[in-house]
Amino acid sequence: MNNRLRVLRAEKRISQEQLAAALKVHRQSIFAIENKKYVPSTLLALRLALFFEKKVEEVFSLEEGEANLDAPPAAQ
Amino acid sequence: MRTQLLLPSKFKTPGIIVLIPAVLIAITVILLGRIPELLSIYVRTVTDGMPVKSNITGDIILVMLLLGAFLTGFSREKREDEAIMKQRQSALLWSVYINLALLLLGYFLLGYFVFAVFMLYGIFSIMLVYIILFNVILYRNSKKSGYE
Repeated sequence: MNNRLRVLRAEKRISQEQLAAALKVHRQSIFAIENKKYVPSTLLALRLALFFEKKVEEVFSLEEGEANLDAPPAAQ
Repeated sequence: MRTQLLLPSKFKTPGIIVLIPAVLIAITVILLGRIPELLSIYVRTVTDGMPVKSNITGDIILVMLLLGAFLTGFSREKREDEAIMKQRQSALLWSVYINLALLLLGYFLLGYFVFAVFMLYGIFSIMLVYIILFNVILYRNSKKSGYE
């Protein structure tokens, strides 16, 4: 999953430590999310989006292949 | 794994203070091949209530090991979050795998009675391996994540 955390953080001019403190998470977690080592839970993703005053889709997006959904079953 | 299931972070330091000497004493006991008679008290037997002298050094080491490992392993980090919990979970899982592999090896390589003793060590090794793995993972990640 792609994310724009680093960009949004640079726009707001805050460090990983400041973002982690604001969200009450560990700095390592912010680093891990930014570097795609960890996919946050829905709750944390929503809180991150709320912090940056963006929609969650503006912060996180699916990578190519991740949106490979099966077609819904045809209606009877 | 929910953070509510963990102890408050203030228990970690006392846990380490209890665990490290307990591990060192336990290693010394293993190397010596016997439990030194440091503390002996008179206890009454269950059957006839007669007082008999009993060496409780082994019991104290055992309680210290279990208590120290419990406090150290299951206390929250200062800022425990879902990513840390995931690392905790993977350390616990790896610890179980390693312990099972060791038990399987021990079963085939050791005799019946030696294996019984080996299984006793297994009770502690699962906790010790978990504590070591978890802290190594935390340390490695803290080294990787430079300040930005």
